[in-house]
Amino acid sequence: METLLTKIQTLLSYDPQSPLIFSSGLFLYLFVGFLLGYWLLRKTTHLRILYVVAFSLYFYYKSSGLYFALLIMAATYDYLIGYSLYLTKGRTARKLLVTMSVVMNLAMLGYFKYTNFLFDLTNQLFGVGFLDFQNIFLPVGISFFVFQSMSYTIDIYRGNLRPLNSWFDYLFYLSFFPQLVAGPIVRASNFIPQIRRKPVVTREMLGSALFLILTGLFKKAIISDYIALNFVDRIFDEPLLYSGFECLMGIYGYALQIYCDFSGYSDMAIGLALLMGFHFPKNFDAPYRSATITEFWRRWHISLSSWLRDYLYISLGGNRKGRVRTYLNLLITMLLGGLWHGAAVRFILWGALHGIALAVHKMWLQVVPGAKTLGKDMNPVMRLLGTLFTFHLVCLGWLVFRADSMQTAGLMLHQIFSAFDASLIPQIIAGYSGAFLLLAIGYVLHAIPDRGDQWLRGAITNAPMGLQVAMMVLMIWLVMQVKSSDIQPFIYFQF
Amino acid sequence: MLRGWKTALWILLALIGIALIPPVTVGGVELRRANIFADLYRFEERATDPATEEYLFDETEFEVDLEAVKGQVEAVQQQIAQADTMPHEVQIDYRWVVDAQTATRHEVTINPARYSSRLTSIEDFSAEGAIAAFCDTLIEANRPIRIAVLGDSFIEGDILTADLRERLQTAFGGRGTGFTPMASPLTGFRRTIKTQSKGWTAYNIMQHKSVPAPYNEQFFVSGWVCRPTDGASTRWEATTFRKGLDSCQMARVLFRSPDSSRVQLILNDSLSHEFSVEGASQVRQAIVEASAIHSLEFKVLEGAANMVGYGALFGGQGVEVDNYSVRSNNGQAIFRTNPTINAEINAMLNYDLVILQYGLNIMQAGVYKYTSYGQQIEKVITYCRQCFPSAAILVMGVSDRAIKNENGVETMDAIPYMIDCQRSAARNQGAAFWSTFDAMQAEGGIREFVAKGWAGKDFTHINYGGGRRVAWALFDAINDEAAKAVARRQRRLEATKPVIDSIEQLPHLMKPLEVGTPTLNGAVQAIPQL
Repeated sequence: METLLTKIQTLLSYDPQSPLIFSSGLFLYLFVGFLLGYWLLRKTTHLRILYVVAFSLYFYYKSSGLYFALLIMAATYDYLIGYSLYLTKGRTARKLLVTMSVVMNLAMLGYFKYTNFLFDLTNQLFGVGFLDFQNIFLPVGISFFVFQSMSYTIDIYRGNLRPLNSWFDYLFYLSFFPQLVAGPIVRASNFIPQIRRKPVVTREMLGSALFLILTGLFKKAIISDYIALNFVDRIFDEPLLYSGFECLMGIYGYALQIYCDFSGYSDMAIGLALLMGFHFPKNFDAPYRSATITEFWRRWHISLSSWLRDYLYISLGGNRKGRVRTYLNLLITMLLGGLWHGAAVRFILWGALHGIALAVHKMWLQVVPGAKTLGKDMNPVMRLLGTLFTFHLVCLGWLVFRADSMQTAGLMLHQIFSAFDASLIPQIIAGYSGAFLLLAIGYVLHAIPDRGDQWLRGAITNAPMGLQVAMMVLMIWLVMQVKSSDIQPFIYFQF
Repeated sequence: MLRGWKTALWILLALIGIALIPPVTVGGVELRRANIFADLYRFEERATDPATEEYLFDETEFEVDLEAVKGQVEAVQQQIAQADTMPHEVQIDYRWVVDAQTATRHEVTINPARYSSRLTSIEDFSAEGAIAAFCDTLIEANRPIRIAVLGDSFIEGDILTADLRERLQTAFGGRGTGFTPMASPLTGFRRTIKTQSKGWTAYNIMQHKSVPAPYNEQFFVSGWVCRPTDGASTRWEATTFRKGLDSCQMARVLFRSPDSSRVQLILNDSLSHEFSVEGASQVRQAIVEASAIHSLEFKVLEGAANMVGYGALFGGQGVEVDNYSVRSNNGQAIFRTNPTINAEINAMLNYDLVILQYGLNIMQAGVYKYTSYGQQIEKVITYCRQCFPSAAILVMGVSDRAIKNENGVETMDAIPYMIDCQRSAARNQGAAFWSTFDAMQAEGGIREFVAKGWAGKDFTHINYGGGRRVAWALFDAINDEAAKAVARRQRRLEATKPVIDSIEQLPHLMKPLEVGTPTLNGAVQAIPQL
């Protein structure tokens, strides 16, 4: 009994190695308990807010320990700055206040996320020992909540938002657990009106939530996790052990893996929020169906791309200062957007590639008569060609994004272009049948038009509770089978 | 909202019910227990009957008649013995001396510093103390010391051997990357040398059934035979991937030329030398000696029709470690090599130690009995002894390997049984044994290796990073034996040392350190000339 208690204590304590992710068993027990309390408190707004804040802070503590204090700190200064901004009329003072908020947020992000990277760069430039490495812990989700918090003060500065009257409400917004660690980046203007509204979950909302959680689990815990472990990672680890075909499939696999991982987790977050009566905007919209790179950024991680557009690109001048500045602004926005994804040169290069591609596409739209931004406006042949081209351009970006060095990226390309070995294709597909089956399912589902999604969402919504439960249980059971399935052994096809 | 909570509750209750369903096999598909509270409670799964090993490998594919092997090897040894008293009937060595090499082994010092977390010692089961004898040679001999590491994909691409070589060469002298094949689809993966091959068809021993005659009968333990066309060439270029690889003083290319041929060596892309090779069945070597060999190209100018290329060896003085990895090999592929060719090449190289790294390709979860495989390993040891009679044999136990199940990633249950089988085989054959598994466990085991990026996500294969850790542990074990050899030598010297009774002897004691006079802690210690 004591052992069980110790185990429970360990399970509930901070463990950086096992954050509380939505696809874990622990989250399910806790969420069932949490939801009961949430329902009981649905009519007592203050208590409900306190209850959710407490759960969210615990959720954050589980993965980042005492760093949950950072959340409270960020909530405090941005709440105070937001309020001061509202009360201040002077232009300079308002500018100063918003600058203070941006600087404090970026300083926090910079310190925790980029100090080691900066030291590494300076050591490479000026020799080892120029700056000493610090052991800095990266608090989970800091990139997301910092951007959320900045959207609050900037919107108040721009006069688009009234500040909150209660600090607790602001902490509620910033720490709300569904989107806390991996987004979507929910704007203050979108979230704040929902905080004090009496939570209502209609049958449609429940159906949508179950649909999003089901598909999210399938994408994240089945497709992404399986192909990463059993196919993609090993190819990126040692490209020279694999034929060009395997390397190419490794890149396609990674494109699917990162999409399924990111969008699956986002979908689950949106679904969980719906179960609590909160509506979040869509974060991914079948991005690989994009016919242009501009369209891709309207479909990929929409909450980030729209944040970058509204708070960075527009702040830099957007397209209001002439063509050259527009291209430059696009490049800067995407460079910084790349850096937001992680502290490494490869993320900057990835951002640069997308920045250049966006600028070139903007130029193309201006120079080529009849060029379109969106696939739906193109003829089918152009749309298909555009989709294929955009997908491969994005894949090139993923290659840079995923490869641990430019050397690895170069080796992958070398294998693809000089050791493709098409004769091995049947053997490779048979050898990695599980991974290829999931790759095919993932891409086919991605290609299915939106009405397919709508149909499934409707079917789940209209299903009786027993069937809804059965579907969820089946999916979780599948996830557990995949999670405990044998690791695909290495298969050698080269001779 | 209540409906949402009820749905979530029912899901949880259903999953608790499902957790009680034990693992089942449906239509050949094994379904694991879906234990939603695995973090809190783990079910004791009923042990299934251990599978038998019969289906794990096909003994008949690699049958061997050890008596016949013995006969073939003895015939070669007899020829070689005769050649000591009278010249070979045919020229075996084609030597090109660019700069005469006068360098001898650098001074040997034993640094007691450990590179691994815990010493995993070598267990020597030989009656004559073969590992001790090897270490005596290692610290004393003023000639190259050559080690062959025969293994599978675990060491492919010079993984493990790259770092074993680096450590041994740093401690006991030597340069160069050792053996590298003439051509293979895997040369690009190996980072310790750059290989560019043109005009060769490479045959692998694992596909021996589809290799055309007579090439299928000409395998050396490297596992590759390469068939050239006229004009075929291979260029090897040194790298700086590990210390001591950027250049060496001696390189040799091994080939067979049953018909007369003309071959060319190009050194450092500048100097070249041609040899006319008289047709004969024996393995030949084209040797180049130079003060700094950075790159070497071997070209077949004429007579490629029946020629066979094996590869090149880069080294010189000191320790040379040759990587002979054949993926998917469980050790038995050696029986498909040609004992005559092995013996002829051994006559050129004179191996001092042969390390056998096998077992991963046989071991399976749930299989606890490896008796038949143990017998095969014993045969492999016997085979190696016959082909490399001067070498001590060291069996590396199987490495750590993990599998995934409902409890997460766990060490494969079969490992202790495979290790027992390998240790018993070594004991029965009087070879030495070293537990790779223990060495990996000392560094945290395969899960830690994967977490640190030292091993692949199959929880089986290590990479260069993991190879470095295993190599360091093996080096520590060898170094520990070498330290004992040094102590033995010192005791021996002290036992025969005359009493210093005259101050006149002191200047004699102050002489510089002689080659091969190691000390235990690296301090320079002069040994009196007796």
